[in-house]
Amino acid sequence: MEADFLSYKKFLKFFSVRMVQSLIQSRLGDEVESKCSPYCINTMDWFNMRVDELGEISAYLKSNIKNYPPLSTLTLEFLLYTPSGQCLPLEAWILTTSEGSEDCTRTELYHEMSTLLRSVIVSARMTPMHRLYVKKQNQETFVIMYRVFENDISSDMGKGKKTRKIGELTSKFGTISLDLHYRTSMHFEEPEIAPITPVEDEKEMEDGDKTVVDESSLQNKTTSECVPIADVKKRKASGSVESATSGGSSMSREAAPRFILGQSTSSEDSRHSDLQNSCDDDHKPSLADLRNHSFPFVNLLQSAYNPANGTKKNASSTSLSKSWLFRIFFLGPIFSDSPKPSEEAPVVEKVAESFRAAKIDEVVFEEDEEEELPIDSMELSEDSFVHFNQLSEFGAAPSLGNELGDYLKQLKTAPDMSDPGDIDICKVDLKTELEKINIQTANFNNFLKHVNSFSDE
Amino acid sequence: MNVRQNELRLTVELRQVTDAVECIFHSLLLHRTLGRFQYNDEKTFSIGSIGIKEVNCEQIDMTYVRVNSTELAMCVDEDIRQFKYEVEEATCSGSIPRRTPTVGSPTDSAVPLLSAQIGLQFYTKSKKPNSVIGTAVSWFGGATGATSAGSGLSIDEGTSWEEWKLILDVFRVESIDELQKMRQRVADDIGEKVLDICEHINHNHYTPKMPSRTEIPEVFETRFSDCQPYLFKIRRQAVPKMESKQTFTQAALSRWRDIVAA
Repeated sequence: MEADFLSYKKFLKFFSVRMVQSLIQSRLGDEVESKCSPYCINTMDWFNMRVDELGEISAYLKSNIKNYPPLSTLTLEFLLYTPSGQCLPLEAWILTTSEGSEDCTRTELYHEMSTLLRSVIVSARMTPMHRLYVKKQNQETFVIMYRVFENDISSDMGKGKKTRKIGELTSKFGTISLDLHYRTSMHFEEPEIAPITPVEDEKEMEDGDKTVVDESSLQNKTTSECVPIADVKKRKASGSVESATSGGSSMSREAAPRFILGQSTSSEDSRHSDLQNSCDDDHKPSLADLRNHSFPFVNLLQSAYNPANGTKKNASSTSLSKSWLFRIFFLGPIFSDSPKPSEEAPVVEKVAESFRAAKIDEVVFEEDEEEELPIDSMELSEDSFVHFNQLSEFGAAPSLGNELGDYLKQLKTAPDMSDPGDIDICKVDLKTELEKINIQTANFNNFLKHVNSFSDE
Repeated sequence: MNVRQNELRLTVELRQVTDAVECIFHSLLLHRTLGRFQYNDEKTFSIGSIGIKEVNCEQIDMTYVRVNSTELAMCVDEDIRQFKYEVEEATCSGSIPRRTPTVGSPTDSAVPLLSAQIGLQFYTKSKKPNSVIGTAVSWFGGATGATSAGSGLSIDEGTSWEEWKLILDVFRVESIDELQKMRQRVADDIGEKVLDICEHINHNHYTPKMPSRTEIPEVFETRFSDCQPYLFKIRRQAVPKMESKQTFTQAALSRWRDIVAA
């Protein structure tokens, strides 16, 4: 019985993760295609559906969602964000569970959850949001963002709100329900145009502790009432969510997400809110802005998986991740003030240096979570496809072994070949050198004969 | 076992028929397709995985997903292509009797053409063919334009457990502006219909139980190399079926059914 319940919990957790992955990927605007896998040779996809996992989304979930259904409710909300700072909630997918009845004898829950996952994938393309906005995102017009949180209080979807119960599966442990709330009237209504309140924001940003204190009240608030977008904006300014504003004030520029080339924001960006407090007002590009071909999402993974960075920075990021119930995550190109090339150069150097300090050693994409080997230091759980070892300092990780670390140290301490006084091979007398070698060879041969004579005796 | 019958109604422009049917049917088939079964012994098996593919409609402003199996898609699309041909033929020919749309015109100057039907049936093959004839043929009342997804067997040999009938009220619009309006309007309508389908499918309805190795051809279509849908059949009815004179066999069969029912 207990084992069955554990299976039930496990199914729900994996279902939640795949649901979120499927939905968010359907909103990226890229064409989704995955191949059928006729036979499960080495791997088995959960619910017999191939769902690619984006590491950034996994890391975001790991950072922000502590309990999955049936322990809590999971809500994924999508919002439209415009360059002028307007935010329009468009959809909310709410996965809930309720008490089950012992009478229920259905045993095909796994198969039914597979069907429900297919419904999620199909439905994701059928909402007005997908038809109207997903493939038309760009910097000048709008982008779509999401947030995931552990309650069922989603934003108001306006006058034309529609609600659908995508699925309701009963089992002896509980009834699983997936509800979809979506907007049909795509007009910005006045209360949704969130005013920017720089004074309050500045106060919150200056006081890091206050952010921690506020998070409990925020969480209480989110569980007790719908949070208006204005509140979300406040949290954005306090680091809970990132916002994009086109205003010219320093405050608005600080709050503006800095991201280019259509990549998603990662933890590197999430740290901006922390770093910004100590930075000057001018927006300067960070690594996330500048990276182009580096390992994607490296920084979010870093913040999510590396508990070893127990610095003040890490402490604040932890508090942020908790208060990031309403963190908004950019899926498409984000409006950003393009940095001037002349200002970029020194910052590039600085950021590149900081990037070298933390590198990812190994990335393994696993299909079957069951077969994953836990790595204690990484705090990996069975729900992630992404495994990696992270180094606090390159060459110093035990996982690399001492040999590689020593080798790197030797390389660092090796004498510079260009120093004066070094041997120049072109100037050496070859005859002399050959004679030396012959003498050494003869000596060695004599030594061998000597040793052999001992062994013969 | 009672067959579940579901009816969907859509108003479309003639050029949108293919996209509309493909979107609905592929959405249904994605729910009713599993990965290939691999049996370890008679009873135990493992199932492969299904991949998906996004498809952008040509004449409707929407995207749908289907099982990423070219074989399955070709099988379905061939039936839909034939259906479109029959609809076009019926609209061009004045002599073919046709149903007229009963719904209002979607735009100011849209011309009503006809009302056509196409259905998707899921069924299981029966070991006793004669025992289930009544259930299998109940809806469309015959095999007009029906083709088998499998080996050419008649649906009369199986038991239908789920049926989806799509009624299309087909109009023609002349202007580009009106067609553009229709592209959006039909997309909205199909979106709602597919959400209806998803709602319906996920409510603990009956599906055939997983078969043993020897029973698998009775439940699943096994001819596709990369996926395994439940046995299905597409039934087309672009124009109303003409009443034809009963053959002696049909008359005898009908009489026998009456006797059994009594």
